[in-house]
Amino acid sequence: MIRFLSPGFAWALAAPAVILILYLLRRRYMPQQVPSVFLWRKSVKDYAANRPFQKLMKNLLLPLQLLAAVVLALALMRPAISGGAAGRTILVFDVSGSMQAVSDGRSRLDAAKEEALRLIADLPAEEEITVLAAGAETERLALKADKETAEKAVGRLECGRDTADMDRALSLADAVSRDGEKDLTATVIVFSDTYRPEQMNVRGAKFLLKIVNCGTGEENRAVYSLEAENGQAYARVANFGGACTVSLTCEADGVLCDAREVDIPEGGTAGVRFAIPETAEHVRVSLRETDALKEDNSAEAAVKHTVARKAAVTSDSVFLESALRVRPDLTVLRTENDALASTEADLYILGTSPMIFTRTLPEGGYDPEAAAFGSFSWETGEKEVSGSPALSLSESPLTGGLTLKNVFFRSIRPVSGGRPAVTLGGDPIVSWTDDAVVIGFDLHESNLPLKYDFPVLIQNILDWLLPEQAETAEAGIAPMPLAESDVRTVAPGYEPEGRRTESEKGRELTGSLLVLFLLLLIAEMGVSRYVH
Amino acid sequence: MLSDLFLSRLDTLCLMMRGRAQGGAGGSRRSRQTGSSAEFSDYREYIPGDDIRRLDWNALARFDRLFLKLFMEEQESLVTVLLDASASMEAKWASARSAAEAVGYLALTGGDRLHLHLLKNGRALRSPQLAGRSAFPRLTGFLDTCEPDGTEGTLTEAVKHAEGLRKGLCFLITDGYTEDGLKEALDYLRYLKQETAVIQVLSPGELRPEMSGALRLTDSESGETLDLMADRSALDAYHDALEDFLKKVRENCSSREAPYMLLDSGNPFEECFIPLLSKSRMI
Repeated sequence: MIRFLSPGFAWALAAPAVILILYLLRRRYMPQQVPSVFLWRKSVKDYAANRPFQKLMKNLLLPLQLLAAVVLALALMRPAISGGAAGRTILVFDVSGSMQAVSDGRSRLDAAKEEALRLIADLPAEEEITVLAAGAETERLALKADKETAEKAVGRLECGRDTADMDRALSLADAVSRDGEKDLTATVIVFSDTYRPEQMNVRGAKFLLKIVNCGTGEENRAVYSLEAENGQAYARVANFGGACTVSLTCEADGVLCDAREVDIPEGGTAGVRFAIPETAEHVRVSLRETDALKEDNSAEAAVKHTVARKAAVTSDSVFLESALRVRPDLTVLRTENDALASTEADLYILGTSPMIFTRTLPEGGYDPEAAAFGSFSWETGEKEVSGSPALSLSESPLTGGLTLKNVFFRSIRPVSGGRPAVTLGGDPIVSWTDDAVVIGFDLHESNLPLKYDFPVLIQNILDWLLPEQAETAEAGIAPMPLAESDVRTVAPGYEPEGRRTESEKGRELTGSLLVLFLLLLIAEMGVSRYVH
Repeated sequence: MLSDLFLSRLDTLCLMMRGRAQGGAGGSRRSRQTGSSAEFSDYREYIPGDDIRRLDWNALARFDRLFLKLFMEEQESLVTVLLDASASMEAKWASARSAAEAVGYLALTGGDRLHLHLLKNGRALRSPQLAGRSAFPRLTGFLDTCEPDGTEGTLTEAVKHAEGLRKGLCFLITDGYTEDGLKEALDYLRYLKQETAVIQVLSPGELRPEMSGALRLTDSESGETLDLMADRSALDAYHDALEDFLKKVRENCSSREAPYMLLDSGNPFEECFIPLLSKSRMI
């Protein structure tokens, strides 16, 4: 089937008509008086009688000129033959976030779609066409389909926000190219704004790879990070372009609550802090300026709210209370054993030796005289520590960051039950379960409270028994990966590298027609020279 | 108008005839006819310029007309110039007229009588019979009154219309555009015992036409038109036709023992005419 790649030049087909009109109009005889036409009359008679070839040559001139004009007009219309041996074509589309960048009024993906549809139209009718969308995952939109199905699949392409995993997509393309009993030549055409041939990482691939670059260099700014907590929102903005000043707005629960202007150096980043209402659940930070990629101009995040906790303490230890207050969400309540039942707390710290950390009180209440608590038990008397028994740490949630160097104990109360975390001379002095931790020594009988290990131990115990919690609302749209926001494509511009202009699957006839036109022109000049 | 220098050159020349002259008295040619000897031969009418000593006074008294006595002796001949004055001669009229003047001068200075006939419109307009050098101005004056504007009739018709053609020397000055290549005209003149010489006058535009493009040629004489694409082949065909035509005229002249001269009106007349006559052994 012949089609014309530049049908707009069809007007040139009127040229033969113009030549004909000019030819007819040209037949105007200039008058000239001669003494006698006697000899001219004789010569014309001889001329006509003896030179039939001359008449033929004169008659040949006009058809040559008309034919040359028709050939040139057809050459301008760029006819191309579709068809030839059918093969296998695999179209791989980069649907990463950067493909949404807009240039000249259309996105890069739209440009890719248009070019793909033109390519599909040029393919033979029996061509097997596969359409793959390469995002974070590779989606197969059409597999060994006909042209119509492939065109519909191309129309369904949509961009995501993630980076495209081209290696995975090309691996799949390689598998498709090898699949089947037919020995068909396979061509993989990648439509991308960043992919380069040297990036291909598919070993042993036998397909012909062509790349259609979709995009020109554009500047862009992006909100690539957003966090919000306790009345503050923190955003970071990246600049993929020249130095600029951008305006940022912050909306809390859909209401504008703050705005900032920030200067960003060329290729740099900047951080912005916004004040948001304490009760805000959801924030959105947006760039006011428009650029090539609008999808990364805003980010959303849920506001984290820290939950306040209470710790009821019965012992009197300044060191302990100081260690407890390191947690900002923790309120320390000093109470008495008798008032424990009426004290609501998230954590109860009971006794001195042993010192019991527990989330819940036993049903019968806390008995300070008892030698057991839950699964823990201990001896009733203190055990004196003599010499320097070995202090060992077991791997546990409580011992992270501890060294316990130069820590001494005067007396201990070994704890049984639970899992030992710290032992002294083989005696567990810190044990733990899922619900409680028991320290089997009096803080006053050790120099541990004076060591930095002590607040670390206390925090470890708190993290185990009372991990920090933040209530968050449903998270919004995450920022686009930073790499996708850099749409400064280095390619020279949109050039349909993958367009088939000559291959066994189709051929443009423009060159042949131009050669024919030149030959006709030479023939016309030769005949004209002979005639005149 | 012939220059004095050219005329002075002509003074040293005289026309040559193959046959014996047949004329009146006082010619320079040998003749079988009678001359100025004691033996009376014949009478003829007096022409102004003739020797009045030869007048026959008795004949005057008897017939009230002047007659000249002829004796058995050398006599002058009659030179006739037939000058084609059709419209086709306009392009080369100057050369044709000069040729007529030159031939006429040679005749007059050679002691010959001269008749000039202008051929046009199928007729011949005859000049008075001229004799003697002093008649040359009358010749030129007669030619001054002539215009080459004949558009009707043929050359042959005009030749046949010419009166008073007696045996003698005849110069036919024409472009020769006849279908038969002057054959009939030459035959007629031969019939009238004319020793004919043909001077064919053609212009450079006729001998070497330089034309191009689409042309509508108009015959200056008949008004006939001919559309022509003057390309290289057409010009080649014209040259072929011209060569054939000239060859035909030459052959007709040759076969009738009529000297033939081709006069190119593009060449300076006074430089080429005497050599032309000499080459044709007319002088």
